[in-house]
Amino acid sequence: MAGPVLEVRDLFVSLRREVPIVDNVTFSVEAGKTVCLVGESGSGKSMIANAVVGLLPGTRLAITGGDIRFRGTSLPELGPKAMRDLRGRRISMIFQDPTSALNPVRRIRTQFDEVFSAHGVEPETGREARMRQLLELAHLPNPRRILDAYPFELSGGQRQRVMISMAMALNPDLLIADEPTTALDVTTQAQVLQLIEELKENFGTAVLFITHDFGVVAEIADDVVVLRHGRIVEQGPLEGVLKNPRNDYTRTLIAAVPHWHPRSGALDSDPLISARSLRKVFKGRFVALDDVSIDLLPGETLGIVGESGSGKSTFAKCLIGLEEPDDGELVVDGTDIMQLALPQRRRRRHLMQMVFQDPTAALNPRHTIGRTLMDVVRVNGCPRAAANDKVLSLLDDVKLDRKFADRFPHELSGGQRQRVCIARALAANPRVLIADEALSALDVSVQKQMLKLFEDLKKKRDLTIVFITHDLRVAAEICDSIVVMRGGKTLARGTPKDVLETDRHRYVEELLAAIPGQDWFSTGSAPSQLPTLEIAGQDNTHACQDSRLPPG
Amino acid sequence: MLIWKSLFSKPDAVLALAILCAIVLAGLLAPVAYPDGPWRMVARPLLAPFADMRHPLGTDALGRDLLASLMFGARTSLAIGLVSTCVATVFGASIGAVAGFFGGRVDSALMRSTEMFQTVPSFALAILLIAIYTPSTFSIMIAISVVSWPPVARLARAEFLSMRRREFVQAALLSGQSNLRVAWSQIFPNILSPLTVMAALMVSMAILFESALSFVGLGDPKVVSWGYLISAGRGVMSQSWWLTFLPGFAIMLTIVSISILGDAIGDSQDPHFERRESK
Repeated sequence: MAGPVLEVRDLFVSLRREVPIVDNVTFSVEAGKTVCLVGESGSGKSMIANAVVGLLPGTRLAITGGDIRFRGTSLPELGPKAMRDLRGRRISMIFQDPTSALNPVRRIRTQFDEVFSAHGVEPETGREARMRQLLELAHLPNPRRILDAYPFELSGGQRQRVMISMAMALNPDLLIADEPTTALDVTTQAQVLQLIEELKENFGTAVLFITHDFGVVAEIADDVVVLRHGRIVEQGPLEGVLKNPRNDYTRTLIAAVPHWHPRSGALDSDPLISARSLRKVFKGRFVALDDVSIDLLPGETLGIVGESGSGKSTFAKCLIGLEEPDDGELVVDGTDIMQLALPQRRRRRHLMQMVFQDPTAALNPRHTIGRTLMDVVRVNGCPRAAANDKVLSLLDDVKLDRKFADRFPHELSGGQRQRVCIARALAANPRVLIADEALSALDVSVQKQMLKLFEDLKKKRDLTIVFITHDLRVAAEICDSIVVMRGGKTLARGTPKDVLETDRHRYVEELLAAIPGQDWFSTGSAPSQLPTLEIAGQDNTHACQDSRLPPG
Repeated sequence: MLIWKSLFSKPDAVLALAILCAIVLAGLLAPVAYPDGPWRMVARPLLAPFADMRHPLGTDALGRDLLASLMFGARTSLAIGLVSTCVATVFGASIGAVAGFFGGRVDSALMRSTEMFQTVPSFALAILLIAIYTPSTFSIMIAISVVSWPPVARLARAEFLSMRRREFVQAALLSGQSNLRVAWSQIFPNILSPLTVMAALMVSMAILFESALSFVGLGDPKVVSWGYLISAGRGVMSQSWWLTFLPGFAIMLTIVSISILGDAIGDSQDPHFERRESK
């Protein structure tokens, strides 16, 4: 069939017909090709996808200009019935969170069956076989068991694969994938990306892929469209955009992919906190921590790396006292605090503070920033007269403007909120700061700034930092030592160089192999001997390595 | 203040506030306007409204002024509504807060005892309580409070339970703030709006409850209430319908106003309010 499957021409989407959210966007997707829309939150990338399928949220948003053509037909001019017929049958979509996209109280079989019955295709007798065939194509083991299962019985990766098989059920011409791997672990992400790639090749489907991660882009895209504030800042074939980004913003995004600089050289001193054979069992069955012993040296940045369910967060909670371990010792400054009475234990634990993953949930929506900080400052023994100055100096420390003291959390951006959370943790004068996935809810360019902030604060305040993350690259870059956890056990511990390069555990190999975009962004799993390419305006440590390998 | 600002931006809330103020004022001014009280027989019985402008709403079967009765009735009904709501809300919210905050065994113990109250039909329990003590304004208030706190406790518990797991609450606890302080300054403001809405509904419920008690003859015999007026007027409803209609109308007006006001106050507690309005 000649011509592109999807053509978006001079598209404008506006809020209340005034403020453009999507501003003059033009691109096209051809059969068997993947186009990636890349941008940070608020760049309008999801809005474009919603405009294509005619699902713009709310009544205030509308297409105010341009055209969307699907196989030559203009979509905005189609009536709701014709549109409904296209959706699912010829254009299908997968979403970020497979958990909320599946109905929790119905079996997969029933939900899968609806895809066919809604469009009145496949005779009822042939459906079962077809469903199994599709699930098999998605590399799901034992399709019969999957069909009989409820969504909660499947893992996140399995759920996303079920969603993908449903999306492919009617052999659509266009698949729209809106951040389909963001909620998944890195190994699962690699599998799902590979699956989309395979299906694209087998079915000749055109794929519109939305993401914020240039690593994923490098893995999957044929063409790239970089968006910022609803406008296209750069577009073109993958190789051109990655090798010679013409726009500064694209360069920032590419540079924001964490680089591979495992540190060497460990600290050597007596541990500040030493956890010995900690054990935690939930509900008497699920072993979250199994004989975990980790030492935390004063002044180090300790990275705890693992996939979800590895017990890394439970360990942090046991350290700080949000969970009590069932067994084991927790030695702080030479005393085992598990033996102490609760009030004393609480006082010892006070030297640790935590920064949570989601800054929105971690701030009281009804308190101003000033009040949030003030409460902590006052309770930690600061006299009333000095408290206000202390709050302002905390805001200075995390590089927030002092005027934010009078604002409510909802008036701040995600990065600013996370800064407030850090300020609150610092207000209690901790010696140890525990950051539990503190960066994963933030945009990539903000992540970079936050990493710098952590480094600065560490030097300035002589902090010890426990950095919990699923991203090996981030851990490699900022940690003095790394602990790799899996299934409640520690698998490896040492300097990043030891753990990730010299003395690699098999599981670490797996994790490394799963990092997206390795052909473009070196991760050490395929050590690149080629010269580093320096990006203008960046110093050497942030340079991006160009492996000069053909993509894919 | 934010609350007033958002209240005055809504016409229905302003109207509701005006009506409530008028009713409260009527109740306050009753002893001034009718120094002899509502029980005196002042004119011909069953006088129709507006027939004699000295008694603008007419008289009842014994020749007592209906307007005076309504004004004195407002005192009783509002007092019972407000006092029993306050008692039930404070008590219920405290029980619920403790149960939700501490969870575990404390929670089960408190919730099982709450359920004991909920399994007994509330009207029967209230009648029983009033029958044990003699019917008086005080015993009616107590009886209504006793039967109406369990739903508040359940609501407060559910809210505390979900708030307790929120990260900002955990962060506050980690930063060294005491349990009481966290419950009061971090969690409580966040559950204020559902509580306000519930309290508004409970005021109306208490007024209706008192009316029902008076209707079956268990009201305080020394004071007039709207419920008593309805039950007294029902015998002559076919000829003098206004004797039941007007007190009933007063109850409806009060309850609708309180509900509207409760919703408006609930909305005004939301920090997103201003932003949402301006969009």
